[in-house]
Amino acid sequence: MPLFFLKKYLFLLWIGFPALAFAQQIELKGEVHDFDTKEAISGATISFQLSKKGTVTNEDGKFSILLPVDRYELICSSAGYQTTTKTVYLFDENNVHIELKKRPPAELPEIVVESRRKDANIAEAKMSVININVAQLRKTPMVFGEADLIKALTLQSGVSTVGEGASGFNVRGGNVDQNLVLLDGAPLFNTSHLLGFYSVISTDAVQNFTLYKGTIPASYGGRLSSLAAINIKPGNEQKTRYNTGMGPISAHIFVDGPLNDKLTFLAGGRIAYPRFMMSFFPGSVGSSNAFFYDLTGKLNYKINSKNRVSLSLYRSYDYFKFPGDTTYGWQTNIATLNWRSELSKKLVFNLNANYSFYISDINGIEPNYQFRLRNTIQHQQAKANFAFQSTDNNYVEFGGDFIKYTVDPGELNPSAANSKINNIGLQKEYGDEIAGYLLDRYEISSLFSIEAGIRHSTFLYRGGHTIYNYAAGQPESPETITDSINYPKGKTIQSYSGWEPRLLLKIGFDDQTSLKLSYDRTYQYLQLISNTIAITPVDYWKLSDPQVKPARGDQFAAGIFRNFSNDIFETSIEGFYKKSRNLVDYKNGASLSMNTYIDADLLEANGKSYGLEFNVRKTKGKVTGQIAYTWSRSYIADLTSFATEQVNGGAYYPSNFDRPSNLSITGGIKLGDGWNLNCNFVYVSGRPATYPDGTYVINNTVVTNYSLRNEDRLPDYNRLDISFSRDSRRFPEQRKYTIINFSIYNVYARKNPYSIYFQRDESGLNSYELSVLGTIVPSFTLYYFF
Amino acid sequence: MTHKPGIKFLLAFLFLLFAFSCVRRIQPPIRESTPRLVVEGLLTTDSTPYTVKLSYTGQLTNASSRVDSNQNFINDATVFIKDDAGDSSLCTLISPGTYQSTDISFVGKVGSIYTLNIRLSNGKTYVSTPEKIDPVPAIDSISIVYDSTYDYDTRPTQLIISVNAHDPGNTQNFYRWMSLGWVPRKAWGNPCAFGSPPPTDPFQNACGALCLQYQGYNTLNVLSDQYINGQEIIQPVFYSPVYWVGKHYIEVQQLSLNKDIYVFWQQYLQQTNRTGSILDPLPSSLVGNIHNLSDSNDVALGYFEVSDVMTKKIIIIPHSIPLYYIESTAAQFIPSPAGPGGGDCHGSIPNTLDDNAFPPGWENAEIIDFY
Repeated sequence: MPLFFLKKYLFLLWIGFPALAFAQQIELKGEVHDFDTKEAISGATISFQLSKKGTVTNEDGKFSILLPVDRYELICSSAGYQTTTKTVYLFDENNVHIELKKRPPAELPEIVVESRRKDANIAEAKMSVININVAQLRKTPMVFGEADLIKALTLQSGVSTVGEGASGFNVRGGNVDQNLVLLDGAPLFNTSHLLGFYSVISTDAVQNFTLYKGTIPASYGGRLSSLAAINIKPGNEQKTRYNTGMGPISAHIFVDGPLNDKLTFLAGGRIAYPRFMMSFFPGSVGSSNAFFYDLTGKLNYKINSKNRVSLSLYRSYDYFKFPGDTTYGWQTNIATLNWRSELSKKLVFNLNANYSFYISDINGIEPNYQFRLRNTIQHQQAKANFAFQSTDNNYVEFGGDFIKYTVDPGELNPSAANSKINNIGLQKEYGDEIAGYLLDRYEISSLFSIEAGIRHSTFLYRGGHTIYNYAAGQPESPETITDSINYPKGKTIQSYSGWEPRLLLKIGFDDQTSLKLSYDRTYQYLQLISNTIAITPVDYWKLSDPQVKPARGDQFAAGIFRNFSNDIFETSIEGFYKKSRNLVDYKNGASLSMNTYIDADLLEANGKSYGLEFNVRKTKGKVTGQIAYTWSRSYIADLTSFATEQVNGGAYYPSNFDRPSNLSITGGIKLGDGWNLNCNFVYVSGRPATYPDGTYVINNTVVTNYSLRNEDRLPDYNRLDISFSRDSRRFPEQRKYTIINFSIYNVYARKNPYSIYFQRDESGLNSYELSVLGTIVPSFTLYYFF
Repeated sequence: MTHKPGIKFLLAFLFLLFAFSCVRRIQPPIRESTPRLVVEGLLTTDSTPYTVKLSYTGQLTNASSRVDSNQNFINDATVFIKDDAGDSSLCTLISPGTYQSTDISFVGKVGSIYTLNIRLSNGKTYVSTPEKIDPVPAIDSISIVYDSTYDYDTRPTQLIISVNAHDPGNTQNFYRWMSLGWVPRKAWGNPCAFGSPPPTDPFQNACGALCLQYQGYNTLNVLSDQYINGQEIIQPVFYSPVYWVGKHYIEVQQLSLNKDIYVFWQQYLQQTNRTGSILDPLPSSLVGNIHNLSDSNDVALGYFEVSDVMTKKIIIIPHSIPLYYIESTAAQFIPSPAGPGGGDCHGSIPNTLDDNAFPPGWENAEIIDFY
């Protein structure tokens, strides 16, 4: 790292120190464990009667808070556990151990979204954050019997998708590639199985799943729209447990437990057998083939009471064959090593090193032209983080991050001896991303708090690479190349850097109401090249280079949060405005696959989106649920000065995922005897579409003309799902139990439009509406735990 | 390498959703737009007259109405093609919207540069970008494969005709193939008149039962050597249906394309193969190489293509296709009414030559015996 950057980061560390003031109070430390399994419980809320103070346990189940000397009634609560009260005398007792008992199943909160603390939405300096209660997904309605993280996410405000079965998700009008999805710290470059129908991570391996729709902490960066953090279960410390399940198209088994008193593990996987169901169908369906699996493993080693190392391994594999002459395959391989060390009572050091490798293959089997086209992205990262709880109301985090990217945009090989295909490889791309950050979460009083963060990131585009320069004043194309420059390996070709400020203010009016304001800026140094509405295996990643500038996003958000009836009802209204620059758009007729001069086919575009998100949640009682309504718009405009290249004349036009109204109602009722009834209702505006506006004849074929992109809109989407589930647990400590889930997806069999297409026959041009799941889809899943 | 992810992904989705997906016909929205000029022009190194077709885009006023017959032909334009040597040929209107070059001595030459000029009656002048004719390699040989699959609703078994050529390794090449054929058809025939020639169909003892039918091939067939530079090309160019025993008369043209025209045809394929899936490429206008002379941002739809051309005419004599097999797979293509006296071939099958007539132009064609 050049000295210049080093100085910049030292400066960042230095300006944080004034915040580390000490108060004349005594520290109360403690740990919270599961009574049954002795596992640490993270995110448990610690509060005190007659006091406004409180804290939350960290991922080791530990907490620490500074309090004046006194006697306290400590209240500890956590989702799925019975709340426990403990009297603490803070002059002679400063280390408490709390064990929480699981609630009987009938009392498990029937909500998907779990807040960390009962009034966390009001009190915490956090906004635009969604936590998914993973265990709860087993009881909610499913499609084809799979509990799915990303499908659960799309029921939340501000999160949408371009269609049923489409890959990925869109957050607040941002593209799918603007989500940083981290699995134990390592990025996932494709989150989909079966071309988008399922998420690659089995819910049964997941400890927790959090999505930041905005105000991403300064310790993270690299994507404009969101941060989705998935953590793999660490493994039970007390006994070996088995978690098995089976549905119509897949089955899974996960085992976790202790190997000795210091080492715990989790191992397992999921395998799909869609071929089994496909074989029942005639024609092309019967001759298609698909397959996927994913494997997850984790080892957790306690070196001593202050040091812990964990290793996570993950692999997913997909294969898809069409009746025609092409097969598709994609795979993700991830390894993460994490070392956590308590340097002192207040300072925790964390070192994360990870490796993520994504491969996408297309295999052609047409006679004489057999080929394999492969693109890959390799991500190697090391991140050092220091967390410093200077006082009970001031928390500081700082650190640095280094990422090395190697992108292979395409390599074509003949895959048979008689194939006429040549061996062609595009130039690999190399890049380094270096970032340093500092954030400070300071609770000025119980009503005012601030989280201020600053991140500085630098991206270096490196050789070996040949860069083409294009003539000024003309549209870029291979014909307007003026010269090319060869850069040797390791040589910096282009560098970009920028400051990324993050700011969040919480202003409380009382303990039931607060106003939160936030601003954040992010840079993104790689984008997905895809000229389709949904992600396909053909798409590949592209690093920022001299022609393709890094994308920059700015988001302003404001929200009012208010709880009613002793936090039983939580309500919020959040508004946001987002502006993004240097997004990638495509010239009309752009050729994206195996294009040596891809820069010449890309356009620079700006995006903007804004919206209002309304949320009402009921978190307690026999009936629980959430109503989430989002009104938002998302636009994009091309920046090229050449009118012939502009889409829609260079004006802002609705992006592919502009869905103005988005309503989802989720609810659950406890029916007794372990039975639950859950339902989802969804109503979403149709996505933008391009309809023809003219017709003519060329090559003796009638051609329809599409002159304006995304000027039309598909009809609205709505759907109701119901599930009945039963948890057989009679008492929380029960070791063997089953959960059964009977789901009905699309109860009133609405033929929701997925797309409209135009086809010609003897009678002329006709329009057809395709519904993907245009009927009732029942499914049954059985989970068995022992 | 043909690669149409859109269609395949749609199929994939349909499979994924098993029997759950459904398609229904709807009334589409109607949007008005101002008519745009559409140009379709081809100049080759062949000496036949060249045609340029001009029209305006039609309104999509009612999407289920037949737009095909509602073409807005342009009949009052002044059209000429000129080359870089200063020669030009005027094109005059020969049928609605179709202009044909008048100067027979004006023939495309490899290496020369050509420009299409169109002056409309509203005063606007559109020109093509100057296009140079690149050479196309010769057709080395023709290969034939008998495809014994058939579909009772659409086609009988067929001969798949492919060209073999060698792509030059030192240049970037783009190809287009155009082809047509005359294939034997059978009707029940008429009772032979007294003194007439012997029955053309010895099996039915009827006259006028056999004739040749024209088979066009409208499927666009283009290829880039991007992935196969310097390799042998084996490209299927014509699918000749086997309706009955007899000779197949096939013409194959191998044309060179300029890169911008190849890109145009790629877009054309994308647009005409759209399935409506979200995995389709985003739709756009098919803008080729023609723009308003005084405003380069005013671009026409369509193209002006210049090509070197290699033509091969062949007569295929299939020897090894058993008659009983043809009868069983192609019987339903014999027009009714059944039985002798059901009508002669030329009268009951469209686009056919007179009974026993030989297609003109195949006098010196290469004869290929196919076993």
